[in-house]
Amino acid sequence: MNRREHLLATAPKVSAWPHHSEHVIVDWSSAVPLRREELPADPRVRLLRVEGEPRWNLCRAYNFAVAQARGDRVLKLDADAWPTEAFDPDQPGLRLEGEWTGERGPLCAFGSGPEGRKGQFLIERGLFEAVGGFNELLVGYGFDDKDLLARLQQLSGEMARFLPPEWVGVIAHGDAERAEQGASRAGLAVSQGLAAMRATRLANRLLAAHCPWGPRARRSAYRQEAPGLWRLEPGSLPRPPQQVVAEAEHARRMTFWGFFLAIPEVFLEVLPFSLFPPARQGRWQVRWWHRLWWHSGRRLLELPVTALVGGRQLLAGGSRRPPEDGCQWD
Amino acid sequence: MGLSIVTVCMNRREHLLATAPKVAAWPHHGEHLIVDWSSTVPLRREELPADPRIRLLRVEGETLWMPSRAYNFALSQARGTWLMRMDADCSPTLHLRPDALMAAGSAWVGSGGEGRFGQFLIERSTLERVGGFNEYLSGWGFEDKDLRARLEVQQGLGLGPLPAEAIDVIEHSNEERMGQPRARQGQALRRNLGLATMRSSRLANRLMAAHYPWGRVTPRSRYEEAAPGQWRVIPASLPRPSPETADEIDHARRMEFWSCFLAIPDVFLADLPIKLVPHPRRGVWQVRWWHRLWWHTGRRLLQLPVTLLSWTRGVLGRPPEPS
Repeated sequence: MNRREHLLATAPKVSAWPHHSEHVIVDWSSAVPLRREELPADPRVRLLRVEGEPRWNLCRAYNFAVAQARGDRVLKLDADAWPTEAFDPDQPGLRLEGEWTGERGPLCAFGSGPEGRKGQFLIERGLFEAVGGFNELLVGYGFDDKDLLARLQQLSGEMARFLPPEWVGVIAHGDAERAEQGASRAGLAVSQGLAAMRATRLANRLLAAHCPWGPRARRSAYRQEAPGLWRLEPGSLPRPPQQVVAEAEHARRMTFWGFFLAIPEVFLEVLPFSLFPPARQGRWQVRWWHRLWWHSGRRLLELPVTALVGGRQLLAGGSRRPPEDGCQWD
Repeated sequence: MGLSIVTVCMNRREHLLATAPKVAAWPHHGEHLIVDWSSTVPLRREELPADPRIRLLRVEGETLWMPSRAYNFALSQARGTWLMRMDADCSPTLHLRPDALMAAGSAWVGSGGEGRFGQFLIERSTLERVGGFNEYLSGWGFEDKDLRARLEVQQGLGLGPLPAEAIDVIEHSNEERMGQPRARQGQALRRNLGLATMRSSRLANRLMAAHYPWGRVTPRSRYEEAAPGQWRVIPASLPRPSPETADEIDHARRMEFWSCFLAIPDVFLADLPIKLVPHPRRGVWQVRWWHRLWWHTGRRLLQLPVTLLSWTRGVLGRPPEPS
């Protein structure tokens, strides 16, 4: 969705890879539709478009794409990723070992290494379907791949295998861009991008916890309007129970404003709702008073923290301590 | 045997001694299995009603309250084909008629306030289809919702509500629920401590359930009988999260607790020395004099403008907040 530059850069690299028989590209309602003639003249490329989607939804988009794919093995690659020459999908080490009905365990290997590689995977189609694919209740950036991985592990009782980092090439891009908040590097924008990302990460974890996905879960259905052109079947969109929606929405709102403006949740909860509203269509409405607070009150509150941390570093001989525990979520 | 009532208790002697006679007076069960989850002072059979349906077992060596593991152990020891969870502070009333309910459905869950939510009446085979409780969860909160979600979403089961009047509950506060003394009038710090402890446990268990979905084939803890009626977990059988996930969840728990208790946003807390805002020790948050000092001074100071602004909520519009 609207990642034309990435796709046009990676599609020729996928075409140059010799191990596949089909490359399904789904245009998830990009503002400017992708055209077949922009893509490599490779007969293995199949371009489909889903119309009418207002927001990026990785889980629904990939469930649709896998359902359309014809192969019994699926390599999921984002628009900014491609398989390198080293990628060998036939390597036996990519299969699970446990007791399976076939002669060999199914393929199940996830990317490893930095820059979004962890979200790419090679899997036996049957195994993907046995866990119901991606959890379509998750929205926006984060946890979709970990949720899938956790359910695969729960089903198989085994850890998925790893694709070595050098098997997958990735176009580097920042957190803010990944969270669909623009690519600005300014302090406030970086803070906003991180806050947006944290908000969806937490909300998606809560949704996954409350609504564990599985093969019985009802997925979105699509109808074909014209050859290669699909649209969501009205009424088929899965929705969490209202109480769960409210909890996830609350957590998203608290996390975004709490992180962005450095206001603790216990205070945000009692402050006027309209000053810290929820996101609209995934976009956070940052007003002048938020910016004013960010540049004034937030910086003021940060002063004693910075002084304490700085003083501690001085006492420790100027070396910055590494993060003390796992504060990096994705 | 028809119905087994299962109760697990860790240092809730007063509650159990009050509810056990009510359970004994209830006529619809064939067994009341009580598991003493390493209470500091062990429960003794002679303290309980002289009802031959009562079986008392003890699990030794546990340092933390683990409702998921404790109930999985208890449910696996129960002999009935129908299973009913009744916490130590709950008892069934005469409004609860298991025969009629089980004829109409295989799973019934508590409704109404005050801890009724976690109680259930279920067919053993139905519970086994989802592997019972998620043993990755620890401490208070979410083990009951997680179980319900898996029954409803994964198995597609309709869960019937047990009416509120079917279960009697001994009322108790958030602090007591967290194993802390009850806050009296004017003890706002203590109340806040209970709330922060509860929120941190609630969040951590949600994150754990997201990372480690439970199911029928997930390996559970195993126990060995050290003496008749006395059991101990086999340490190697305990489900353990990966170090990476454990770090993420410990961090989230720490941020949630101190952020709620001290009203310091987690974006700043994460930068503060961990010694100042440490992890809990054996499940207990170490609140020091400087935390109390900050709570009574800095926190109250920061709260002033918030309180003033909060008075405008009505003027600026206030949609309902989730509880």
